[in-house]
Amino acid sequence: MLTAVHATTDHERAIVINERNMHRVWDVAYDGYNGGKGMSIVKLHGVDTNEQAAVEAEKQTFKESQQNLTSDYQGKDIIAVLLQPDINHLPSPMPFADLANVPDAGQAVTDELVTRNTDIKSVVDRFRSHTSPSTYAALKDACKTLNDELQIVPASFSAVPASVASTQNSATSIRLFYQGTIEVQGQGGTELFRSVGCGHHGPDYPGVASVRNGKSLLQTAAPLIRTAAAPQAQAAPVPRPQAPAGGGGAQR
Amino acid sequence: MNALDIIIEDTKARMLEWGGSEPDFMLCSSKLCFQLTMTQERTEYYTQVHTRRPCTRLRLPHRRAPSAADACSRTQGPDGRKLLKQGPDMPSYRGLKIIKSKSFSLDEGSQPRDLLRRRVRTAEFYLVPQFSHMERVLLYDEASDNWAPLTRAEIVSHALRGKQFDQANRALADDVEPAAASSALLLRPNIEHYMLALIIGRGGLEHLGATFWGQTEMSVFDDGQHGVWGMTYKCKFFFAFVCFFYA
Repeated sequence: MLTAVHATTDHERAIVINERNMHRVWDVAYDGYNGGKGMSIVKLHGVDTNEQAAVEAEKQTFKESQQNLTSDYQGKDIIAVLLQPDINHLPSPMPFADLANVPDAGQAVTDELVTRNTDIKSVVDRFRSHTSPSTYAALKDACKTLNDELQIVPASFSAVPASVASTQNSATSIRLFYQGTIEVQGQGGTELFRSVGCGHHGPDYPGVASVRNGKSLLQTAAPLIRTAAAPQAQAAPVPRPQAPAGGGGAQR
Repeated sequence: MNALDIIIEDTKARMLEWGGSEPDFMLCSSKLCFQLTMTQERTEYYTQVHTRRPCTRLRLPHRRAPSAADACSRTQGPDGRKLLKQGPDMPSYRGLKIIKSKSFSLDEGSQPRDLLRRRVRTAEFYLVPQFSHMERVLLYDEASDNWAPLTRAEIVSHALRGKQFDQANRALADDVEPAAASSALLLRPNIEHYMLALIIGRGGLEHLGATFWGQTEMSVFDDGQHGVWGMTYKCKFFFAFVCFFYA
């Protein structure tokens, strides 16, 4: 029996001869929020057997949501850790992969243009030198436990360049934690501590969501309201004839 | 949009540093063009209408005040009228010709995608000092675009217990109980946004490259009864046009 399959395809290929004359710039402007900056907390502590079962289920769900890079993030947003040292300041960014003892801390970044090990090493060294030993030990332990349980930077994590991720419709995941905006309040709402976000997003404030949805421009100064009087139709003035000079017409 | 201006100038300088040519085009998503054009300066169609006093020197007998129709016609000259009719357009920006990227059907069953728009996940940390004195924290919730509270009880009931640091032995010991916790750390490891990208370059065959396209035809046949099989492949490439390429 003769079977034949014919396939006709339009084919095109673009070739860049001189790469010095082309520059790709990623992440220039926001174009929409997907998730991850909400208020839901992952439950990591249970007091009894039932709660422990719920904790394990939540961990699993979080891991699956986190590892799914091909669709919008739908998992829970916040992870909380209690620490014994009285920490008043942490350098930003925080190299989570290094704190969690992941062998290649360079996995925290995604772009192939970054010389990973040297760049990340300076961040790691700065973070280590600016924190006290007790703080560093507590953070290292907390990050390692979190990573073991939630696989935030798994051992199989490979940094995907932006162009490859874009082609594959896959999200890139940057594991450098930058300081975010927070206000800590005590009794009666008194302000105990406030920090302003830096790094990826900059400060947070009500109204910034429209900027990050690509529907507004970032306010770099206090907004101004410009008002201009609307034109109103009004009665035409009655033209008055020129009074004749000396009772006669205006004749020359 | 000051940041984009800086990016463009920085890119120009970087390309020249690398021995490249002065760029002449910017390939970007049309969304980015919206953001560039929907500024107050570019959407200000009208000028302020001043009511003139009747001229007495020329003795015009039937001069009338401006009406609403007059106001409409008093846009910023011919350019203003064109802008009002067609909407803001941006053929070039800072000396770069703007080319809008297109979406392509890449995945079966899903809507076409623009390769200059991608999802990016970033991470933030929030330090909570004086944990024993705090009642609640305020964090920014992007879904509701407002501050949202997180109470101490919620944090305690959900948080992972870190280890205590034993000063005497210089080592970590038991889990931290909430009463002994002096600080807390909140992490948001998966903050995801869509981000736009752009390509800046110098177009032309001698500067950048070209797109080749042609029609290929592949024919596969199989005659199992006579044990004959084979494949023919015809390919005719021809040079089509000089392009502004993006990968």
